[in-house]
Amino acid sequence: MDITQAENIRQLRATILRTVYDNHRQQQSRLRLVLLEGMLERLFFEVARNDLIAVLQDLKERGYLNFREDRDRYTRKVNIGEIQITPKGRDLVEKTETDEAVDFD
Amino acid sequence: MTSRVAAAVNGSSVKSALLTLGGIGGGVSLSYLLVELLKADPELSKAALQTVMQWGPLFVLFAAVLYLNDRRFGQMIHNQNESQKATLEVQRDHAAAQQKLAESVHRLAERDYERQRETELVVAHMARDAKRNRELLEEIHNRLNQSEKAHGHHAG
Repeated sequence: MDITQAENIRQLRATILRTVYDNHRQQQSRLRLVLLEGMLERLFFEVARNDLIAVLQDLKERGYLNFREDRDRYTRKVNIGEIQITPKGRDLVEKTETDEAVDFD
Repeated sequence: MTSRVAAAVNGSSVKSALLTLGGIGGGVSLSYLLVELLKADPELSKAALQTVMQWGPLFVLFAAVLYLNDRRFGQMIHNQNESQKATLEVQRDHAAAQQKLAESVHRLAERDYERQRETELVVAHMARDAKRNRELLEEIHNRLNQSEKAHGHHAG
């Protein structure tokens, strides 16, 4: 992974966290992968679906996000739904906490 | 012999036999009732005969219509059943088509909703970025002003 890509991923993590945070604050229905993917595409993030899933899984492992992960019975494709931010993730967006892996600037 | 009897007694012959028996039974019962009624009141029989005589050729026509109706009644019921079956099938197909249409409309509406939500998220993100950029520009502007003022003091 080159430095540019790493920087992009840090920005991507921040964008995802902030989007989910805003969604939570507005008390909208929980986001799904397809919505997040469409939104990022419109924001010119060139990210393939599997890469996006990997980033989401990474954020979940870090304890910033929670979501439901299903695998289609026939196509075996992963689908992600009910994405929600955790208190730890909210702290990060509100800058109560900081993480070098998430670039909010 | 048995097979011949079995062949003869198929669905349609049973139905027509039942209809004939029913017709005969009904006719006999009606005649019996009529005769009993006429026996009980001879005046009534005269009146009935006079009425029928007054009808004239109409009575023959009435009898012919009754006869034809009796013959065609079973067929009419059969045809009506067939027609009802066909109507039901059409209605079932129609219901299935309507269900498919409703599902398609639902999918379209869902897609529209997703597009709308995407747009909302993008706009929110861009608005946040615009606000941050404006704050950054204001900060730069203030710093420049302060620098100019400081420079002016030194120059003065």
